[in-house]
Amino acid sequence: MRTLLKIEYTYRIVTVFFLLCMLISFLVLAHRENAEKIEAETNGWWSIYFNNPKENSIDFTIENNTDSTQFHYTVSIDGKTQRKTEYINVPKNTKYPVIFNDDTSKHTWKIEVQDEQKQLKSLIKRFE
Amino acid sequence: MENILQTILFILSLIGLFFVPGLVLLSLSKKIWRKTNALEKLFLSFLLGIVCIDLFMLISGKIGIPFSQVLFFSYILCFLLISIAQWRVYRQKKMQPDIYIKDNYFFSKKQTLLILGLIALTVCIKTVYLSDTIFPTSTDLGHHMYWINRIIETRTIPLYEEREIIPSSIGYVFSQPKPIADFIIGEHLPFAAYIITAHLSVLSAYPALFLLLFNLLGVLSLFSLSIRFLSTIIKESVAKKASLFTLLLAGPLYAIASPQAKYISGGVIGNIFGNVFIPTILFCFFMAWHTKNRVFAMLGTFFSFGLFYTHHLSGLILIFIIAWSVFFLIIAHRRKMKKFFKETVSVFISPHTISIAVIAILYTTFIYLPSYLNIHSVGSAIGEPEKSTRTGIAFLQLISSSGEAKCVFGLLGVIIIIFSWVKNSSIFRKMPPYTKTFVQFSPFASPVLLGWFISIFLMSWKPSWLFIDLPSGRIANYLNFPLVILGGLGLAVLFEAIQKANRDAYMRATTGIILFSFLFLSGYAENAEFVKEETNTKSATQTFIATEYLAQHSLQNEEIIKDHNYITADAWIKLFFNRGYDYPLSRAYFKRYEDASSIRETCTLHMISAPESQEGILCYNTLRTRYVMVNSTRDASQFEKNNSFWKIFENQDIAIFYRNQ
Repeated sequence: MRTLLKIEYTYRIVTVFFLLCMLISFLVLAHRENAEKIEAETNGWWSIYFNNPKENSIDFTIENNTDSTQFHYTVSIDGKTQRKTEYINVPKNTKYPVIFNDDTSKHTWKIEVQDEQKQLKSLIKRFE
Repeated sequence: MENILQTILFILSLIGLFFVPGLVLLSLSKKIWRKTNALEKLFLSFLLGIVCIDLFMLISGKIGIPFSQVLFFSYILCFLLISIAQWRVYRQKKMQPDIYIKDNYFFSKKQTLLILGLIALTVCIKTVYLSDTIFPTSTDLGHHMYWINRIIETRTIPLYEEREIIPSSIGYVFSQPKPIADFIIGEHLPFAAYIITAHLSVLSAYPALFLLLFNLLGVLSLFSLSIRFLSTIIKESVAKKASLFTLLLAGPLYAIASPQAKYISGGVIGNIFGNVFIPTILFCFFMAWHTKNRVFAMLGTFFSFGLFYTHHLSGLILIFIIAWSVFFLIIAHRRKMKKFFKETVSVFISPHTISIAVIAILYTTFIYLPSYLNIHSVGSAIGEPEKSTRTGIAFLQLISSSGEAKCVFGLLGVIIIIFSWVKNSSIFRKMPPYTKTFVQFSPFASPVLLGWFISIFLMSWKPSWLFIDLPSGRIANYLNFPLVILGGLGLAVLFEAIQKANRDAYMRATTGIILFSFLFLSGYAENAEFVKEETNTKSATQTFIATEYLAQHSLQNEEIIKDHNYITADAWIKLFFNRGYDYPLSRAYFKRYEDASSIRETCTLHMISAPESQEGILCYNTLRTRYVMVNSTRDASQFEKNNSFWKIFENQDIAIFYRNQ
């Protein structure tokens, strides 16, 4: 009986040790995924988008999640006539909405936004 | 802090939903409880818990009880109450373990430390690999998570179906939803159960962690199976070494390669589940045979039943393994066929196993029929293989894909078993005594090991011989498991032979070093192949952020198309919409449109690659597609130039266009 208990004891040690390893692994991986997610969501990217994508309005938003805060945007008609251009400061992890009050129901409107690294992104709306 | 709390809730939900019910049910059978050690109870109880939760959820879904925290807490509470009652009975009777193994078969302190070291190393390697791939991005996992999310959202059993694009008089239309045979309910229910219970997010690390647990329990089940099997084949001291070699091969050496950690990050749920089920079922059948215990046979049958509700390929492979094992068992016992038949029938065909078979029939008839059990799916898996990926893998490629060292020593194990068998036969009975080795032919383990190896080997090497029409590469992954046990046997016998042959310690050490170098180089070279240089978390996050914008602004009746070739984690996009498995539409890999063996629609190709083409315009118009989601550097230019499209969103990786017509 003593031998049997000794065998069982060995397997119990292995089982408990395995569960302990699993626990540490779970905690490490869950923490890693969460940290990566937060880092990816709040760092190293910026985006532009129309506030009302299906309507005539060309109001748009710049969402900044980079360290560079200086942006320059240009609104032009048919790719030629500039209607508005502005240097703006968009702090990290903030959104900057640009409201446009002019009549935008005609022409092709192009919005180009550039950051400090000269990275360019654009939006386009075309009306008959 | 919130993250730690969630992880603790995740662990508690696993204990409550799977381990506790499994342990309680195991403890109901004194024979099983007393004949198994703590390690065996661990994977047996977990798997038992998995099958039980599947069956419980299927019944709940059938009678219309919605899946909720209350339902699962009640389920856990029931088992906790039974366990308290059980514990009181046990305390009164002072039950002791009765390990069915030779009395002196236990690992020494050094060997125990080695086992602990190998387990730690295995977990460590997998954790390090997964730390770079833990963020949910893989395509397969994304597809599965859609259905899991569907179960969580609708609180009931999902209908596995999707629409297809078909030609019509006006151009193209969506067909009525058609059943999908690729997904099986048992792959999804356990995930849904713990996510609902612990109130976790589908889009998190927890699905991968659940798969990691499965995978590691698979390693333990192989280790335990090798202890049981090999103790009947070789003498005790060598069997212990062979088990340790099995743990080395199944654990740290090939920790990342398919079907190990690579499958975890890839979300190959069915295979990972199957890889625990198959060794565990064989373990139960071995114990049933060896202890002449019907309850073990019942447990094995119950797991087999659960496997068919979990993964069709693993189920089919199990059928072949059992068929070939029975074939070898019959040959091995041909001289005492009557006795063998009588013993087998009394153990395996008993009221215990018949009751499980009856439950299985009732379940499939009245409760839930697995989606793959229709004539079309069965017909597509059986027959003469046609596709090049299904006509078998060349022998050398098979060795390479399974790992050279594992294969070499595994084949040595096969030779040893065959030799031990032939040695027992009448031809060799009168051979000189020096041919007698410490290896003996086990009446159960040896034929089963041969059957396990040969069935999968033939299915992946020459599938046409067995009329199998399934992807050979997927089947070949199952070869790893008999190979690690056979490899353990081969290595242990080889080291023993070297030790006996060479009295010179220097020679022994040199040979040992050469063998270990080959083993470790092969194993770690394969691991290194899969190590990623950088994560794709940032790119996947860009996809999710763009999708959130689109989900917020698009309507239910507006179709969306996205690209699968250049968008990271695009399979997860459908989770944000929850509007159907085929929503949004997807431009598949280009090779899919060129595959002559399966003709598929080309609308999804034209709508992104050539939106200005006549075909593209027709597809857009007739399929009511309003939004396009593409990689901003790869596919945006054709839409920027096209007057029908507005560019409404752009971030680092993704551009979204709106079709204004």
